[in-house]
Amino acid sequence: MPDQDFDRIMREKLGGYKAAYDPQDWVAMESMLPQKNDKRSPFAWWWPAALVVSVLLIDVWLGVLLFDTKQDQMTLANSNQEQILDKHSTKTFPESKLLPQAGHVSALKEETLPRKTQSSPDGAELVKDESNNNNKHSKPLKISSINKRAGKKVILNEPSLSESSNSTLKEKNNEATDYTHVPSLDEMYSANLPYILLDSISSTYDIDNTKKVNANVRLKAKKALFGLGVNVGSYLWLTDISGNRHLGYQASLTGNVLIKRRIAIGVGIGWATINYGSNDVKPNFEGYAVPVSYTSQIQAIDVPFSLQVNCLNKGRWSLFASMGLHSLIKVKESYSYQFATDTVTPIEPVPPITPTFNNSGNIEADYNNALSGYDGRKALFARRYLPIVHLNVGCSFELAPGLLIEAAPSFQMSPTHVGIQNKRLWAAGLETGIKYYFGK
Amino acid sequence: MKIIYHTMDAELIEACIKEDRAAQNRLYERFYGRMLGVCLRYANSKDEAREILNEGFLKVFRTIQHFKNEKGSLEAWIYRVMVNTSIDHYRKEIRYKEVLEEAPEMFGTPPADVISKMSADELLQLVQQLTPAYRTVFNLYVMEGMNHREIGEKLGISEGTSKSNLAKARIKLQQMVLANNIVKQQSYA
Repeated sequence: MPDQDFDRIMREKLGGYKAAYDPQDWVAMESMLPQKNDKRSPFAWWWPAALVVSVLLIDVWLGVLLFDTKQDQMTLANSNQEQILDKHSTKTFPESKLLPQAGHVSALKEETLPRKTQSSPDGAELVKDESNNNNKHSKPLKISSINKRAGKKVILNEPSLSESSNSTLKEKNNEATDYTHVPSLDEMYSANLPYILLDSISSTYDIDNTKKVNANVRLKAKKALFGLGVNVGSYLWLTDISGNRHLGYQASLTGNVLIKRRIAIGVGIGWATINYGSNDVKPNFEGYAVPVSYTSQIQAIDVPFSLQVNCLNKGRWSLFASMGLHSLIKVKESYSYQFATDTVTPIEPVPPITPTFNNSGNIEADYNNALSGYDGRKALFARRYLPIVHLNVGCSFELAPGLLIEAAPSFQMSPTHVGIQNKRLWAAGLETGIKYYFGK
Repeated sequence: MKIIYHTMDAELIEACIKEDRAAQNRLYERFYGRMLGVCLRYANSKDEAREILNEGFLKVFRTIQHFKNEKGSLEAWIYRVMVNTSIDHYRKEIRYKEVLEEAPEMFGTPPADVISKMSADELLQLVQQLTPAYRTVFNLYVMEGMNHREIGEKLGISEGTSKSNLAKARIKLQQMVLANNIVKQQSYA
């Protein structure tokens, strides 16, 4: 018999063979299936989400706990500064009536706040405010030492607005708290909680140390898809409610792991620039309400961490929600303010003033060098770690197998107050990205 | 009808993805007969076939979320899983067991009607008596329609070895069919 015929007969006989069902085989099969899944399945989706929410809450709490104490004291220092300003303005107001000329503020400052300069044994220049001689706690400050610690790029170009109360403020700040404390990298990393999240996942696996669960873990590890992505975001910072609008930018390279069919965790590194500002009205030395415009810029290394959940899939389109934390490690922060006398509104009836001068100032901090506090405002820069929570809801489109392009409106908020303005940052913007998942 | 069938499949798959035990049971029961038939061809006993079957179904339940309807029917996908599990089983078997392959001698070929008269169970028993190497090559070539190059790649053997094993498997089977026929005739006499 030819081989082809033999093969054909065997194929016909055995091809459609069906064995009779034996219920005992299902019993054996069922014992091989994971036992806990029936009970755990409703919650299987939620434990990573619950974990991340917990981490975020702890982070916010730590942020408040670690930084708000300083900010309270800072607010106190700022209010003291304002009181001093008021005090001086009351004193100098009658004189200003007589001398509404350009440059009169400097002359006035010399009269009202006599200052004395002397040298310390180590050669550092000492400044002492003689107007507070009665204060036993008054201590001279070593300006040159402070400037050394603040690094080369610290520029202090303060206008007369701050100089008049500078020495008094220094003393008050020294009494209130040590603003020269710079958080160490260890301290900052200790608040960088996504690492704890990863540890938690590992330890959860370790607890279930049975043979079957280990097999599941291996399977999960095998199923987890790794992806690389690039994210770019542009944000309108809403902190400034007075009309000025400032854009911030973020760009990062992220590594993403698909831990469940619809859940991905992403960690990355990137760069963020935040511009924000505000308008305010402050009294100047003459007692006039002067509009002051503040602008700030933060440049920072961005370590984004996010949990993304794909909610709806239709064809190549997918709707997703993503929440997480941007850990910003500030590299540079600058602050500038500007006020002008040409738009003054007198607090009290005053003779007309000819607009004569504009004034502006800036403080810049370079975090590459150790930063120390100089006064109440400067000390605010000493906080290098800035957490920003984000929530994105958007859609993704699969361009090719594994290649996703995403776009999502994004909402961001800093749980802690930021900068000279001592405000919480709020922002809304658009984030786009492209990701490629390796594997099948 | 086909649409209804696919809808039912989709519901069953969705429930299995959610690890619904009742749905898993329905899926198991529905494809049990056909798939055990496949495993019996690759195994040397019914117990071994059941072991392969359950191992295969475990893979099915764990990876069913990756099944895509567009690429073929659910049955075809499970069939492929079972064949691949059987090949994995064969690989494990030849790793741990040293199998001596006897070169069968050719006595003659049985007439076609002799084989046609034999039942599927009888033929299955004969296939199970083949050595694992002969049996696997025979199944992949005759039943799955693979060529020798593909078989060589799957089993990690050369094309020549595959051809040789197939020829020997055919001779061995035909010998067993003849011997079976003689025994039957003697019992009738």
